[in-house]
Amino acid sequence: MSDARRKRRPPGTSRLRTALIWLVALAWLAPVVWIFATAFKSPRDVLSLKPLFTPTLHNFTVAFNNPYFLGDRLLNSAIVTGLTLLIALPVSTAAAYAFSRFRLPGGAVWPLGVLATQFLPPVIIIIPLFIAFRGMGILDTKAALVIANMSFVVPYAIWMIKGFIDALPIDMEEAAQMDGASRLRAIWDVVVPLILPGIATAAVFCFVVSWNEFFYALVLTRQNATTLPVALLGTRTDQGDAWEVMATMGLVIMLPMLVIARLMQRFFTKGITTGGVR
Amino acid sequence: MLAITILLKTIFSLKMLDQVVTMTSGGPGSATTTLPYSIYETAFRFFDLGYGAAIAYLLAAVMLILAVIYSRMVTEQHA
Repeated sequence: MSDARRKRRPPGTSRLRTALIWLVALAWLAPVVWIFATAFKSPRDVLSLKPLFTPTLHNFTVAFNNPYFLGDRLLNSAIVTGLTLLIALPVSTAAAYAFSRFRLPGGAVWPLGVLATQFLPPVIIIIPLFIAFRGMGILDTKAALVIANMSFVVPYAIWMIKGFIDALPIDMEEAAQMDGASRLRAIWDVVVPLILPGIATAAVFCFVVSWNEFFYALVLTRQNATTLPVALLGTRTDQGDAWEVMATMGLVIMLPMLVIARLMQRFFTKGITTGGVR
Repeated sequence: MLAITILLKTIFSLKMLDQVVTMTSGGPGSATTTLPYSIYETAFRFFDLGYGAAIAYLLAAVMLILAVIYSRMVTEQHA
């Protein structure tokens, strides 16, 4: 199959393609490599373009101690992201199921309305949120961040999961209900396992956006609940920008995403629906 | 399809704020003070939440118009 396809193409196309893909990949990877290198440079080497330098772990010591406290920030980010996922995924799955299976008065207006909230820039949403949180006295807490994160995580997750439920034939859950399962049980035992790839996709997406979330954290936190992206900004001091510490933090922010991308890749390729329908 | 992409990109660019906050703070002078940054600065730097919200109405109006055009385009394509 692949041989036949290769023969149809004019010779050299494949090599050109590979070269172009590498070129694009390099353009994308160069800044990442740069951050990797800078994270291990001493402040003196940061602005020099020499490819060789003496690597040091000093930046990590600096980043994890006063005034950056990277450990605390890491914990904050992890808790906020974890809670966001824990709440957003069940809520989105249930909402997606309802939008997909029930005829609601108004029809497609509701799911579209959910999506429409994403056209509002965060800077607009943040003003009422800020006033409300100030009134509730939960500014600078992780709870405030989790609630704020819901505003952009849930709509996307609903749409992502809804696509998977739409593609699922209704017959399968009807069969389960015919055999005496309640609707909730049919959802849990039939629908959820089959749309697990969709839920996983949504989970990865939710993880990435709430892990990288910068603006809400910037406005809603001061010092106690600061997350990693905001901590990055703290490296820009009056004494100048501490690029090497910034790169170290950047590395810490990137690492879990690299790990998760690697893990989920395997999960996706397995293809859990194989054999379910068809 | 191209029109939809351009429109979506316009909407996302209009929302762009993180880069301004992290890199230029609206400067030099006011050269990079975009509308979202102006809202942020007014509301959360100068703490004039009311004025900030008023500017936010302007941005929301623009966004609403673009969103309506967008949803028209998408529903037309599906029909």
